[in-house]
Amino acid sequence: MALVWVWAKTIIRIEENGTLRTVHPGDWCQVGRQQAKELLANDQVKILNPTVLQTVQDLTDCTILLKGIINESQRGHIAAKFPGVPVEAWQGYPANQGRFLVWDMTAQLKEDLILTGFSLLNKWQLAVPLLGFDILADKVGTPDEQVETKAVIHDLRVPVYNPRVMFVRQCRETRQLFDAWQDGSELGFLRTLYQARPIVNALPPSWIL
Amino acid sequence: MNGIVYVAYGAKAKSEAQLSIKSLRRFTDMPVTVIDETVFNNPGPGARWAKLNMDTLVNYDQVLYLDADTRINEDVTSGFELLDNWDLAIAPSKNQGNEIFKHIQDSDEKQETLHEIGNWFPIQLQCGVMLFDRLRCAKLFSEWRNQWQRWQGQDQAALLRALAIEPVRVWLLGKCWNSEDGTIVQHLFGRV
Repeated sequence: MALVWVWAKTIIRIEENGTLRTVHPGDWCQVGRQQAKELLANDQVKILNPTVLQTVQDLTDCTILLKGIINESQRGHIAAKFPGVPVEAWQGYPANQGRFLVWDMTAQLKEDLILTGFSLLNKWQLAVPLLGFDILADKVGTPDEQVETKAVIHDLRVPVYNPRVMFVRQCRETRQLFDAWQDGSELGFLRTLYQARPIVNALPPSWIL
Repeated sequence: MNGIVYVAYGAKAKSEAQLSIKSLRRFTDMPVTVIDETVFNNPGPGARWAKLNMDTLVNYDQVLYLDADTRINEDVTSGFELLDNWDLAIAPSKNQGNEIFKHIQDSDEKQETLHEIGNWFPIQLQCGVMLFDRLRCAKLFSEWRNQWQRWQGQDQAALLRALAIEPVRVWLLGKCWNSEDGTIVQHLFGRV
């Protein structure tokens, strides 16, 4: 059955693998063409124009790379939700993937935003949520880390990213970022981000539950 | 040469800009340009057309743009260091999440913007304080003007649409750079 991506304007209920799922306003989901027509007629959803639809649906160069303790049922769930997209364990910056999502499983990324994240990479090299609008670098890390970070980014009164979720386009800048970011810390990420200078799209902290 | 730019049309805006410059002068003697009717005679609603043309109206290599109703509480020239690595430095707006683009809530510009940028959950940026490299942001400003022409109202949604078409390297500033209680730049948001 051909499926259509729709954007919910109201709360809708859709059937997925034999069970009903609630889709909230602003979330994306796939439904059959007939249901899409009905939802559209009731003004419950919006359908993307074909050019954007094509961009969103073309995931042939995408991979989801999971970090941390990977629960096999979680991995299976994600793989089922994004058919055709490899879901693998993170083993370092991949050599041959055009776009990839690095997802530390301790972060509850809103799965309905994964397609959006991948589509942003058509223009941006990196998309990463902030840790919080009011969480600044001068409130994160140890005093030594702050000194080290200030020496690089000049001023610690800047928002900190949450690098447990990163949408990444393979390019020189993101390669440099991952090569240099060895300590896994948030301030370390900020330092290497500053120096690698990718074209980064900062996402709101609400992308993570 | 780097410089600081204000846009001020009308007596109230000029008076505000003078107060902002006075607060600025406690920390720096960096050149300041005030774009007004003597510089550009087609400011547009809220002088936003003048603001979006500022990259063509000044010759500074790198610019700190300040809304007239700002007050400077620290040396802002340190911000220019950011432009060694980044093209644009700007702070998020205080309106995020459900409040995003609430200033254009009654216009279809909000929905169209979120649809066109392909992200229904972006960060809204506050355009009242910006540091930018004029050359590296030339295409962005050009597209910002194109996008602003469509509704000819506010400028924040137009900036996100322009960034989606002509992205640049954006370094996010903290709210200390642009908020009502900003410790570097206090923004009064017209409440003066």
